[in-house]
Formats: sequence, C-alpha cells, structure tokens
Amino acid sequence: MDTLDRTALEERVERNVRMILEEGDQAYLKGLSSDALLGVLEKELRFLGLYSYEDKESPKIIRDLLRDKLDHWSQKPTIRIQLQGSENLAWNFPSVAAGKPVIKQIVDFVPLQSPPPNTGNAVLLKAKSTQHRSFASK
Amino acid sequence: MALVRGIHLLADGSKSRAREIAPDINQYQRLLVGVTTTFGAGVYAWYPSCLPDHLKSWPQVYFEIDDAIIEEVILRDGQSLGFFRIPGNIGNYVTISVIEFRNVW
Repeated sequence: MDTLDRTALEERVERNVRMILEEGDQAYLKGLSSDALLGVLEKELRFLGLYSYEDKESPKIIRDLLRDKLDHWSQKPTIRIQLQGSENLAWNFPSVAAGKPVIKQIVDFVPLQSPPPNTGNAVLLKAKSTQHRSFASK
Repeated sequence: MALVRGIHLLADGSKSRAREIAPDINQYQRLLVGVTTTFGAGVYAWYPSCLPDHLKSWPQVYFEIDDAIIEEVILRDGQSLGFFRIPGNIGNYVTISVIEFRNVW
C-alpha cells in the first residue's frame, strides 16, 4: 500500500470511528472494555466496507491505528469554563485506560446526584427515547 | 404493505461459514440477531443501491421485507448511512423473504 492509499485509509477510519462513537448506542459503547470496543469498531469498519475480504493488509493497519489513536478519538471535547474575573479553565475528560469500561471512568470523575423524588425515572426514559429516535428512526 | 429489498452480509465475509448457515436461512426464511448492537439490536442490511463496492464480493442474501418493520439508520444531521436495521432481540430470529443468495456457492 503506498503512502497516499494509507493516508486515505487512515482518514476514512478516523471519520468513521468518530461517527460511530458519536452516533452509536452510547450505553452499549460505554459498557465495553477497551479490547471489546476495538473488536466492535473493527467489525463496524468492515461492515461499512472500508476494505475487501481478500485485503489482508488494511485490517492490520486499521488495528494498529485504532490501538494508537482510539484513546484520542474517544476523548470528549475540552470544556472551557469562563469564570468572572479569572482565566479560562480547561477541563479534559480522562483518557481511556486499557481493560477498563469507559462508563466506569466517567463515573469516577462525575459525582452522581440523586434525581428528585418521582421524577428521575421519567427524565431518564425521556432522554433514552430521544436518543434512540435521533440515530435509528425512520 | 410496501416491500423493501435489502442485502444482508453473511458471516463477516467468510464463504465457508456462509455455506453452513445459508440452508437454515433459506429453509426458515429468517436471520439471526447477532450480539453487536452499535446502532441498536437487530439484523443489519444494506439498501441494494448503497452497498459499498468493497462489499459486493462478500457472501450475501438478497431479500424482501415489509418496510413498516425496518428502521433506517440515520445520523443526527439527517444523513442516511445506506443501511437499515430489522429490530430484534439478541439470539432471536427476524423473518425475511429470501430472493437469492450471492457469492455463497
């Protein structure tokens, strides 16, 4: 594979991985360990037609690329907080460590708040329903 | 009822595995829901006109299904990914009407 082909493949991989991470079922993706997430992404990229079945080189390149870059691609965008009379404060979400479910790491950093009585479930259900429609409805 | 046609890729491209499962698909007119649920649980199939070139040589089943059953996979910005989902629970089957198998035998 020449450099141009490889660059094009890497760009397609990044574009599609970002799309999957942003548009896919968040509960499902966040429940996967890093290794499982790599496996799912490889399968999805194959389903999306990034390379032919006979192509033995691209899967290796994609696997290496995912191992190198997935941590970066899966990071949430930096949130900038402007406090009155102070400098911008930047908050970076923690990176994904190998073997740990992503959701566990987010829980580690975001204190859980109990929902108000009798409203928490309703809010959760509404949010889930909205998310479902946004990426998988007609 | 309107029918829509789809192409389901078999066995992640493995022809030998596709030959093993094709008789069941043909006899019972059904597809098994796998465990990968990135866009929700169900069986995934390409609209025939959207099948990427790299996948055209894969073993596949060409079928028809009631379009009221399927859910097209659409991004938040409204862009279609060119494939749809037949909703179902992991380990269960969804019913299709097989038209033909391609690249299997």
